[in-house]
Amino acid sequence: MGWWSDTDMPGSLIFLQSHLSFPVINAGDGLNEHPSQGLLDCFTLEEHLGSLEGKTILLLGDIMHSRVARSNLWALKKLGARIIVSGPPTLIPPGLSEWGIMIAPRLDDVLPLVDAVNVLRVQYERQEHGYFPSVREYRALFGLTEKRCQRLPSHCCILHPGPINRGIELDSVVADGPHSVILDQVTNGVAIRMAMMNYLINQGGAHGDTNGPD
Amino acid sequence: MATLTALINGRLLDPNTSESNILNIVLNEDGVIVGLGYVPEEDGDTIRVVDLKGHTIVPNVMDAHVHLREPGNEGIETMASASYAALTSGITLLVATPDTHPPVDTPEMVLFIHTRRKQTAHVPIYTMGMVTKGGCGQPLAEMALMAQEGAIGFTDGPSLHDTGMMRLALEYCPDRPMVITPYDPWLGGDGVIAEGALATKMGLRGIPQEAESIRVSRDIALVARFGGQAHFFPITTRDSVALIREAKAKGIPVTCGTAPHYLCFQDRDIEGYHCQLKVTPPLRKADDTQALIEGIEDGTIDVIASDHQPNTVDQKRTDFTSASPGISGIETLIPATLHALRPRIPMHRIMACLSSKPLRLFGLKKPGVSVGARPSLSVFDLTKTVTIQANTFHSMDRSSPFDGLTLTGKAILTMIDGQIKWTDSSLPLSD
Repeated sequence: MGWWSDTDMPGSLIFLQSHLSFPVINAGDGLNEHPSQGLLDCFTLEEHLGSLEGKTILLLGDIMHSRVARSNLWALKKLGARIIVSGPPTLIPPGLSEWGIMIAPRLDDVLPLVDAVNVLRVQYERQEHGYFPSVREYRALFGLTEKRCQRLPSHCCILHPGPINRGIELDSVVADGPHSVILDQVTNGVAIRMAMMNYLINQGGAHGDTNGPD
Repeated sequence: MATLTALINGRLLDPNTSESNILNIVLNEDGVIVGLGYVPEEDGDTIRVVDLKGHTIVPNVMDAHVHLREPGNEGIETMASASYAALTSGITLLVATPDTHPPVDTPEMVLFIHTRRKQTAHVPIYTMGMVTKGGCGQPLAEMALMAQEGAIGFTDGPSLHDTGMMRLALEYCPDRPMVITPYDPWLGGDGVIAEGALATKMGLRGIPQEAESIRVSRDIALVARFGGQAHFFPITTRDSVALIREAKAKGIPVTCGTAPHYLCFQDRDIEGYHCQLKVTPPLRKADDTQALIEGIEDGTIDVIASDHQPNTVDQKRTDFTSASPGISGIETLIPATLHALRPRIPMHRIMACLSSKPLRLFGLKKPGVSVGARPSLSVFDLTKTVTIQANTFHSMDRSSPFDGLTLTGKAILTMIDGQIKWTDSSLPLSD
């Protein structure tokens, strides 16, 4: 079950689950979670980095409105990774420090420290709300440009859940460059989602919402 | 045929004092108290004796903030259903908000409400009028004419967003309280629960508590400078309590109230996306609940009212963001308030917030228990435990966040203007 709206209906999965007798897979409930994306991101990261215990993962961009972020945060925390978030301060939700998540106001400071960057999509509809003044300014401060990538360690992976705004949050050269594991994410996504369906059909029950960081 | 009624062995709780005396109340057939204490022998008069067995009598218990849905949404709630819910809960008076369809923003609408309530309601219903026409923020509604017709206060719900209009409204408002729900909608944004780590975790948009306290602060400043009588309802945050405490200490004429759900629940109870706990303003933190209780204890908070906002089943049976805010609160007002405040706050102080203080706030003159009066009173068994079963509510909204909880304290008799209008099945009437 998924919703096209970016903001509506967090927790709708729980509502639906209570009315159905078969497994429900959460394909994104508003701002809340997108568990299969979280799983495929972690799978892809492990493929490239090995165990994520002690690894440093940066989530970059609109954390506030991102269900991808909300699934990655809880999954990465369970796997023992060190998590840094960076983005416009208006798009960093409150309370992250309660889960030991580090907030980096200046992207350039942390790039040399990270084992992977998960770049989130700039959601244009947010711009109308005035969370940041312009796409140009966003790119200048938080875009993962070709130049900025030079600060990354050579083994660092770059992920993006798609669709990419090329030239805004991520330069094309970077998206298609040596750090990028985006196509692996796509391939792994098929396998992970097949596995989820196979598991649920054979096990029964509903396992959609990881329900937070515990 | 009984011509006299005697309520014997009742313990009268005077909200103004800590005293409570066992007494007998004898009323004639017109409902007028003809004697206190002495029960006459049967000498030609038949007398109906109701033994209250030491249970507690409280005069003029009221619910000072209910959203009726009549006129306009009689499928959700009517004056008849809400007032019967009140009657069976030991509530002898309701104060209705004017946010009906059409809204109560003219003297004719005030007249309609009063006419309709006489036709259908089980307890007296008084109405507030709108501050501005249609509650649209401007221009001012005919507050003086509405007051002449019997409107006991004025409210647009949220405080007026235009500070200049708010000044005018406070200056112009006749000698009646202006009931203000302090809320800044720009700061509140699209929020549905209190801002904080929990909102982040659940992916729900948050409302910072300053969306409330900023408006409390602004409107206190306006009252101090330009006059008017502001009553903030409901207040839910520690900062609001502190601001109002400070204003009262300075002698600024402001009062405030809160609702029992802010005393009994916190935002963490919403985990699992419980739509029954979706309310505006949103549930806050334990620290705020604590501050509200302290505010009731020291008299900063004057009123406890249900903020009854009934909804249909479907308005709540959906996901959290889509669900309508509000709870069906009349039938849990008394037990939930007692649950939250006992034993920390003495009973007469709790009951004052539910009777004498809101009565005084709205300038309502109602007789107490004295010879010659036709009293409205309720009798409560304060030791009886009750498991709340929302599906037995008399309100048309038979849902509640208190459903299934066991609370202590139950109404057993309700008298309106000297007439017994309802008794609990545990209290058979002898004739």
